[in-house]
Amino acid sequence: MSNDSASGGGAIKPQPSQAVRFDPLTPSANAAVFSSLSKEQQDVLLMEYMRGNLDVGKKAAQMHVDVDAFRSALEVMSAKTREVSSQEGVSVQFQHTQESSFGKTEVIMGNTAQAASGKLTRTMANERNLTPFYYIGGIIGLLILVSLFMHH
Amino acid sequence: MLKSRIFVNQSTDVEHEVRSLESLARKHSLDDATTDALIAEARGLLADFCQTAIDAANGHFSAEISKTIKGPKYEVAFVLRQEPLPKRGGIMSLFRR
Repeated sequence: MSNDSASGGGAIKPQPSQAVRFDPLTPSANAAVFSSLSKEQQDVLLMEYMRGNLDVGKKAAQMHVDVDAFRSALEVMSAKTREVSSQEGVSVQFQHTQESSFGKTEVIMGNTAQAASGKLTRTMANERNLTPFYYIGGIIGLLILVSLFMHH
Repeated sequence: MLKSRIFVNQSTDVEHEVRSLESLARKHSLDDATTDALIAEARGLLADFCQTAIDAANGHFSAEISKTIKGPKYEVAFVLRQEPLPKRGGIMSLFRR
């Protein structure tokens, strides 16, 4: 293995005067000396370095796909909102929530009061809706009251 | 006076809705010119709403659009409601909003 072979993009540049230098803010200035290592150790290091590069590339590709999908959804929503809301007497509202590799995003747009408030519906915001439980509790309470009156 | 409300989502059959509207127009004794105008506008609107509903379903966003078309003898509201993905069914769906 040549030391230069790992220097694609300048991430690892062996320099005789330095053992290891790593600066995460300027990766191009990073340097490592492999001369003190055995051939096997150099191979292992190179393999790890390449695997790391592949992982970063895979993650970047995944994020790119997520961003592209999000962008196209936004384009459809905004174009339609613009087109429809220009017509008189039309109410329009779009909502979108997604959790992707770059975090959670909530979007609401349209010409409705809810869109203006910027608050998503519970379903879209993935909030738990407790209304059914209130109804069930109320019915149970009512049944208890009725049974109490029946016994008196 | 013909008054109707048509709900649209991604599975709406545009031609079926148009035919229903046409027979409703006949039932309300709308003249041919008025019926033709109503049907033409309704067909365009339904196709547009249906496409938006499909876009919403594919793009995983919810869409709600309502538009009312009014003529001398009719008032028809078109309501698009499309959820991004099928959520929990049963009783919970009654309280979804």
